[in-house]
Amino acid sequence: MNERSQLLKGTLEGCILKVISERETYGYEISQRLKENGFPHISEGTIYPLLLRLEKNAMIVAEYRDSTLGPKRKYYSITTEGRTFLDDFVHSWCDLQKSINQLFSNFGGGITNVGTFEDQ
Amino acid sequence: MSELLKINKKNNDLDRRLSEENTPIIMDMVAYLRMAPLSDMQVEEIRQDLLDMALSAQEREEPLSNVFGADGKAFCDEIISSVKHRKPGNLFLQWLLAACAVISIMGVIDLVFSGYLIGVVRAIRSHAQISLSYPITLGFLLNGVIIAAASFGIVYLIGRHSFETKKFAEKFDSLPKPRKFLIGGVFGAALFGYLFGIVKLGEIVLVSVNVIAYCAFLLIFFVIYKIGSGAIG
Repeated sequence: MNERSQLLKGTLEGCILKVISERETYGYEISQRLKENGFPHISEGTIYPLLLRLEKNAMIVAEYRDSTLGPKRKYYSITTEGRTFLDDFVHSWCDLQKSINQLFSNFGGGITNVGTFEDQ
Repeated sequence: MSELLKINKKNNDLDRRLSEENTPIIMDMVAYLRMAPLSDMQVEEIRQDLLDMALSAQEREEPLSNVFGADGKAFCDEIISSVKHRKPGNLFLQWLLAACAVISIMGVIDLVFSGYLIGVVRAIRSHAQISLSYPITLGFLLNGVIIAAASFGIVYLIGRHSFETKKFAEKFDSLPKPRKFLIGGVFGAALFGYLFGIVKLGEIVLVSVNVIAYCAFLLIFFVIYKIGSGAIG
């Protein structure tokens, strides 16, 4: 679980950016989209600091809009810098995935299907 | 009304919609964030976001621990490290403006309770000449400095240890009654000694100033505080 947390820390920003790149959205919706796509333990609070960081680094812009609940809700959309970062992230991820798969294949055993590890 | 005041008022209204269980959780987080190197506007915007998340969770009947995690302090630390911090100069300016507010408020309190105004009323009634000489005493100065220092200290301590106040209260509650009385007695005696000392030192006049100039200075300090607070947000 600890290794998964470490891996998540390095990749969650890219995943959040991907969700935002699809359409303008808000925090809870982002966490729900992530949960629907294999990230069951991601809450709105988990991603909130990451959204603040992405906004600080100009990867996304935020706009407050009135909501039915009362407090104004923050809606996020991706910027040009954000799209560039996302492209770089996808390339880096594919390269890394290829390298890890190759390493595990060459040293016996390997990753056959997604989520499956074949013992030697 | 400034943007900061508008958002603060809105957030205060939203606070009242939190349940009894959720109110202390949000209060602890906001108190902790107020002690961080963030501007007042940043804190209010984050507070607005936290309230949005909390009220949504409340609507879904979810505990706030599902949203923010079990460790509120760690969550706040993540937020603080993710945003741009205010410039160090701004903090100094905020403290300076707070000092202006303290001077003006303490000055008015001293004017009301020093007996000067009673002297003015007596002079008017007896058709005597009103003295325009207002004494600035050692007691007033020391009292102002001590109250300002104590206020800042208490606010800072409460903010930095906001997640531990419940633990502290429980610890105090668990003390035996005699010890509670002893602690209360020590505080009471210290307060009495302090008040007695201030009254005695209030008899030592450092300088006398024109009362109109004194009131004008208090007003200037207050205006500086108001304008400055609005400017730095």
